[in-house]
Amino acid sequence: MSQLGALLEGKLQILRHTLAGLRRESRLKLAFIALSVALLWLATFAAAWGAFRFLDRFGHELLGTRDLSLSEVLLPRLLSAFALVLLVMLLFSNALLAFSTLYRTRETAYLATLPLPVRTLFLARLAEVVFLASWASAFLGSPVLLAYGLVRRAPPGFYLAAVAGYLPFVLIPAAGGAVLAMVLARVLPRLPRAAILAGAAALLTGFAFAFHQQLTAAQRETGLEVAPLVELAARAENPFLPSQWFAAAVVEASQGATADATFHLLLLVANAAFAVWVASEAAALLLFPGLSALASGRRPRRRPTGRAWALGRLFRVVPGPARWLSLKDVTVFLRDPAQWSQFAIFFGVLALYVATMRTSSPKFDQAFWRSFITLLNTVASLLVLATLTTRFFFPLVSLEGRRFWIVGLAPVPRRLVVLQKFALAVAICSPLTVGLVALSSWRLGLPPAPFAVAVGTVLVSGVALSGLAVGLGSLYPDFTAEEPARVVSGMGGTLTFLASLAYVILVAAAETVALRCLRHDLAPSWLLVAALAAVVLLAALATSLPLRLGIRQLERAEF
Amino acid sequence: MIRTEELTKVFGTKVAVQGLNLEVGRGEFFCFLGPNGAGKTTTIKLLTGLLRPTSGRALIGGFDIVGEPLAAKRLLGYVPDQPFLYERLTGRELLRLVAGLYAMDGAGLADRIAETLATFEVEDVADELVGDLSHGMRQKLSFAATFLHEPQVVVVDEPWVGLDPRSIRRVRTYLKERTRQGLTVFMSTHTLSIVEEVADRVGVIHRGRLLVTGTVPEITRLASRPGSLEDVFLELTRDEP
Repeated sequence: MSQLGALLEGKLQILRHTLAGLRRESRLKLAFIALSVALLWLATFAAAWGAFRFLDRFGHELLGTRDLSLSEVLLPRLLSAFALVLLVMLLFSNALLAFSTLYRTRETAYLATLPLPVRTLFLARLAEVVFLASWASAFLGSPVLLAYGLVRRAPPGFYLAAVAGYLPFVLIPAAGGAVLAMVLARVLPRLPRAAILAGAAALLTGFAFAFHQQLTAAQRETGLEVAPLVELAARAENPFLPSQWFAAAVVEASQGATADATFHLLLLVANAAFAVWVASEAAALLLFPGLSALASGRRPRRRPTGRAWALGRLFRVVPGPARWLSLKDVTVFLRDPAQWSQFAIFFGVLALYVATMRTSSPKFDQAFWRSFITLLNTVASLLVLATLTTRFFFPLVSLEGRRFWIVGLAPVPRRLVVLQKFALAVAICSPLTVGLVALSSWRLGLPPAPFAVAVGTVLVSGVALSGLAVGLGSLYPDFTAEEPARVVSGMGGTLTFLASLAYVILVAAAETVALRCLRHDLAPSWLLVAALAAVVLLAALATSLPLRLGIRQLERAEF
Repeated sequence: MIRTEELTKVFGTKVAVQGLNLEVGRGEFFCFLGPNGAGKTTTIKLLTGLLRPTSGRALIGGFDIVGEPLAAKRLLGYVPDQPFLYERLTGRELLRLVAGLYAMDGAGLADRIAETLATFEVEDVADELVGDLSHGMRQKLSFAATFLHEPQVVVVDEPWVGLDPRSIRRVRTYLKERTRQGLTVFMSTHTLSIVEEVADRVGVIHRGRLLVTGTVPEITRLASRPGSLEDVFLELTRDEP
């Protein structure tokens, strides 16, 4: 067996042991996760099928003939746009994962001591990165492609092309992301901190400006007319983009154009092979120097004692040991670029959305559209909040695991550790999300009642989603994990995200009813009161139940 | 200061510690010996409350570590074998965190932290991130974190890993001096030469059962032939073929 084969075989064995370890998990937990995963897949399929079917019918009705319809043009372009979004997301997630896998794990350091060619080491680690970065897009992309195939009545070749094209398609951003991570790891340690911060700020400002320009132009062009929308979607159909090769392959396969589909599939395969070769050559040049540079950069890292914990002033209001635990959590977070940069991206995206949202259109004078946009704003904020609490606050208790001899040995009740992390999550998330929703609602010119409903929903949901994340993080901790991202990618993290998603769906349903009541001036009615009570009740339940169970679990936990 | 009563811990079908009855007095330096997998670390984790006993109980200063954990933990300090610390805090910040957890505050705290850092010779690296420190430095820092709140009982699990000979001597001397001032030390180690030097009493555990306790001379007399502590240890813990 080759060295690469031996490494991959080892990884497969670990995967097999992990799957076998599921037998030790609670059956209730497994059943809940399995059911939630199935429901999420089905919901994605239903949403995609409904959307494609609506567009298909709409296209036919507009031009009145099955042979020539708008959907023939619009649907393939939407698929291209979908693939392009996926490509960009995969590029960033692969870059982040490649950085942590190549430079932040002890495994790479161990492998580097073995007589392995650097290319072999890199390819073994890249395989892991590809798997971790791409399984979610396969899971959520498959129902979308299935829905497309069913709506377009595609032949079996379509499904074959989708499966065959997926691996080379994800390999290209994986290779690109890995090269990006290796270049940054090699270059950044050489630069002064001020230059890095200035560069990052310039990059972000430039991106925000370009995005704003594009969006404003698109808003100007499109209005709510259909033809410019088709034109806008065509911007994703760039023949030099791998996303377009993938989209073209599946669209052509759906039309029975086998030769064209095969050409695009081969184009994908050839470019994927080339990208992986380029990345492995780059690894030969950059990987070990980068490891060395990161290990030796900026040491010793001294901090002036007097200012060592300047943040402490912010936490003066927090009493007792909770103050020092909070201070520690925030300090550790701020000193981990992988953590705060992702946090900044989450809120950056949300802020960008609020900054660029449409606030002026003749249609917005209608109460329906205002309610609709308000609901979309709230749901978008809650989804970001759910992602945020799962990603950043779910792992907090787990991360105490190996250091529990410090916190666990101190005369501090274990329940305080859980409640402190919950309070910290609420204190950080709520002001940001409530502020953004209040700002967007104000820009929409909402009357006081819907304004209060939108802001109130996000306020109680900030508490609820924090309770869910911290509570389930205590109930299903992974005390062996060192990296927060790895804690989240486990069963407990998946469960938390799905539970948060279910909460958002239920709250959105209740808010829809509340906004509808307000639109029809039915307030105060029993339906409005019931909808608002449902929001509060859901939030109370989502907060108290996981926290109670989590505290009980941590109080019984052994280390 | 330390008492265990029929302390037992079972993991699934494996009995890790069985019916342990032990008493360690104030100011006593007690060394806990045993081969790998004998139950030393499990006993230590039971004493510190990191594991819950299947039956029996452990008392620190008269307080049950399960029933009255906060009172017991105020008296207790623990130095683990693997010094997992918060890598993105500096040493000084780590000690400030520990002080906060033990509700230590007031004007003298900064001096107390500086003094503890100096005692364990880590003052020069106190403002560097823990993640940048060597294993030995981290071990010294974990000693500093343990002794910051002036514990009355200290449980130490194989503390010598990663320490240089000078630091080993310094820590050893420090622990011994502190026992003269009333500190109780419960130490698990494989370094028998140090045990011979510092232990007031020794306990040997094998397959979860406490085989024997006594002073070093008492233990060495148990051997079929006169020999060192190492000879006796090997004889006591030998598995019959």
